[in-house]
Amino acid sequence: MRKLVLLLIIIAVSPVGAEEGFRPWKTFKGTDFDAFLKNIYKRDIESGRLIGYDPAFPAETLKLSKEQMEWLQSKGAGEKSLRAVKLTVKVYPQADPNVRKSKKSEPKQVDMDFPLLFFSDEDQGYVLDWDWRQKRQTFFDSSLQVVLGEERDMQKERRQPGPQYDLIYLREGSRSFKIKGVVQNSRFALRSNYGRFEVNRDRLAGIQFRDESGGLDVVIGVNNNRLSGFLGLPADPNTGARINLLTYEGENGDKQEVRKEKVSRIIFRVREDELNGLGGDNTVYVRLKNGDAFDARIPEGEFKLGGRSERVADVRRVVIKDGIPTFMLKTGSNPPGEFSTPDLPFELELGPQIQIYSKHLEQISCEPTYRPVGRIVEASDDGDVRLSFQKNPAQGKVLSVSSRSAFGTLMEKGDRIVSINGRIPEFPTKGDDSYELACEALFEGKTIPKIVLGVERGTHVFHLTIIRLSGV
Amino acid sequence: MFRFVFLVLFLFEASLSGEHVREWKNLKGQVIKATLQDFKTESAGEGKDTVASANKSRKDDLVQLEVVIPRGKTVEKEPSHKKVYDIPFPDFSDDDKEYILDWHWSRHRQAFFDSCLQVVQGEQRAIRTTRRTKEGEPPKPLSDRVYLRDGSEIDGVVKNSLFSIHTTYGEFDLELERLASIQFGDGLSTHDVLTGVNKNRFSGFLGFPASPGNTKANFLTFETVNGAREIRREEVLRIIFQVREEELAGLYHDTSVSVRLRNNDYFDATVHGGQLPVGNRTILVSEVKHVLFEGTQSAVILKNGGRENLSFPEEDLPMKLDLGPEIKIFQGHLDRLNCDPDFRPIGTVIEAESERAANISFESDLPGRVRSISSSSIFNELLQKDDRIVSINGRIPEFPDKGDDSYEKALDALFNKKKEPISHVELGVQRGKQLFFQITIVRKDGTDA
Repeated sequence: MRKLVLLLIIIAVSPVGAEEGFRPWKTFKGTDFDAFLKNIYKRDIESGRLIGYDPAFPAETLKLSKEQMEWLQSKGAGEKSLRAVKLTVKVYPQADPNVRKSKKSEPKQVDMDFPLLFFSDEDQGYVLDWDWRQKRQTFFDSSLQVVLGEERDMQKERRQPGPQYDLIYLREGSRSFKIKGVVQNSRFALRSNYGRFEVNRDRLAGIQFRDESGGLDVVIGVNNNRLSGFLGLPADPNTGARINLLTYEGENGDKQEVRKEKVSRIIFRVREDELNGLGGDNTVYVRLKNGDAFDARIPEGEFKLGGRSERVADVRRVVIKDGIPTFMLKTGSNPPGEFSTPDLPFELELGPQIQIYSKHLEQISCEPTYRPVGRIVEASDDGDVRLSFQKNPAQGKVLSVSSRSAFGTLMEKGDRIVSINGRIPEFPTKGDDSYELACEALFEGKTIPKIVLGVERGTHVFHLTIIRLSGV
Repeated sequence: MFRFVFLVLFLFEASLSGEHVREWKNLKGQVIKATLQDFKTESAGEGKDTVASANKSRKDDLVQLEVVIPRGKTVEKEPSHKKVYDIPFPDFSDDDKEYILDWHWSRHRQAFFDSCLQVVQGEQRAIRTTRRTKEGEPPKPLSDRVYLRDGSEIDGVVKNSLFSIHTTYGEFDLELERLASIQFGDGLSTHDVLTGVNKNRFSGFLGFPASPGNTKANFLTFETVNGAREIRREEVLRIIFQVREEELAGLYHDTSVSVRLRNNDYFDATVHGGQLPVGNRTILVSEVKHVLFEGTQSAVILKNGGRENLSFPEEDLPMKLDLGPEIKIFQGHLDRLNCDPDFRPIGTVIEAESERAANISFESDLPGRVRSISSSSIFNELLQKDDRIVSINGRIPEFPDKGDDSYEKALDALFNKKKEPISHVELGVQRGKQLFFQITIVRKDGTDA
């Protein structure tokens, strides 16, 4: 019993991400861990479901024997803290030798901590992988993994071979090819129809360059913000990047330069710190008439109106028509008002501070849960947004759009759905596909508030957000 | 003697300059018929000239009249003969002096009238075409016309002296005096478009730089009859600038060529100093017909039929625009250089084999509105039903219900077999409220005009 107390540490079950299943474990010697436990506790203990890992667990809490501590220290463990694994194990009642056993008793599930070094190398790797994923789960869930219909290079596993690369698409006449590298230009200058500003590379997920015949360059932020205009590559003395040249380090480490006019697209790799400082509660989501949209802070947290102000925290949404705002307050009232200045200041989450002429604005959403991407399509049921797709190999290519569809003219025959809710969709020839599943979740299960579609038309990608007619 | 001759001279034929016979009076009210041929003066042609000022300053100015001296009472039997006389300007009556000054004013400007851009974006620019009004008064000052997005129009004189444009191929400033119009984009599918007085087109994002003490950044400032006004750039839809008499001064250099870009912009510029590097030598643009840019290759087509490869060492070609700025353009943006000074096509160039091939049918009750475009038409995918032809060869077209219209006449002239055909037909096309574009129709190579 004492030994059991020595080793068993029962703690409150802490919430974790995806629950692991019970699995067999092996000791550092490669033997069965259950047998090892049975030997120590003199009863049946079945290992275990991984529920935690602590790289600096207080050694004394484990109440290990002197021999065990010496052994652990000889393997590199610290005197006061060591790496510990928390497992939920099945502990069976101690068998009474005087009672004839009819059937095995029901075990209790108990959470126990063990030194990581007690386990086999393979199991240690399993624990460390699991912990690595656990720590990044929130980031994985919130990071933009698909941009412009393409998967960004990303470290999804601890032992995934690295490094990660940016994907650079080049055009040479009518030919197009892609290369892997790490973009060195640290800043990108954008001249949009609402201003001129610079965006830091580390806040960018993708860039779609205009083609020779015209159009605009489109910059996609790591927070899925969209900014369009003429993109400039300023000189950067810190990285040695020269003006108008995209500088990147190739897979072999060589520094390469290419004219920006020869670049058609960049898909930036996912960087672990790219979302740091983003997604604050006090941000608003600004949609412009030209289709651009971004997260920003309103200086001092309030909209300045003629003679009064409205606190951003009190506002659900602001709908702007011809520069005149209609405030929809959380209280349900819609007080009239006019902006006190024709240009509204915004501090973009992506960095720059800009002023935007009120007539460029379409909507400002102050609710963190309502951030529609691209054009909004309202539908009462999945029939309103039904799409038929061409069969393989034209994955996701729209065959036709009904004239009664809620998409109206937004979607055309030949458009290709390249992302659904931030993930690459699957369009098998038979059975449910990603789009049908998403529609079911939105309209029948009502388990998701919206469907964000990435749609490729020609060389450009645009987004549509489908919401239920009643709103999110 | 001279006065006697002047008294009895009569004239009946139109002169070489196209003038008609008219009656002339001297200071004593005596009448002759004569054709005005020339006005020999060093200071005439100024719009501000009046008879009163001319009387003071033009004692030595001579008016050349071609007069016909009758020889008898019956013209048929004794035909008159022509004789040219130089007559001092002060000897004419005030009415004749006005006529002389009008004639000279117009003649002095004829070349400008012929070459200036009078219609832009399908609209007539305000232009002074006479020295004085029909009532004899000095003409009113001209105005620029400003169209606002709220549908209103304002006449005034724009004060912003400089406009900056950020294009796909660079950023530069253009002076007001070199602009014929500005069409502002919708921020979605269309950009701002500047049209120069030489028809050059630049598209991109337009900026209104501040000019200390004159204009504020992002504001259009203009003077109206009711005083100065300032309007936000975003409120303006279109500006049609007045024709200024000096606006073409210094344009059309011998070395300049027509540069056409892949984004459909085009402008006149002197490229690489007017000498194109070919191999180890350079050739003058005057020897070149055109230069084609295809991918990384660029072919120089010489007037003598030869073909060379352009060998610019730099990726960016230096150019001095006729309209002022010096810029460098990445070769990948270039589509073509037309070096023939007589061929400066605007907009999309369409080749037509025949008059019939270039035929367009118009709505009978909606002037200039395109009825339909067949899939086999050379305009297929370029023109659409309901597009409106708003200018033809730089003039507002006429589309009467019956008979010839401006478009048919222009095609006649393009494919004329009886006399020297015109080289091309320029169409200005309006689509909806926002989109204006241009098409140049040329005869297909080898087409017999």
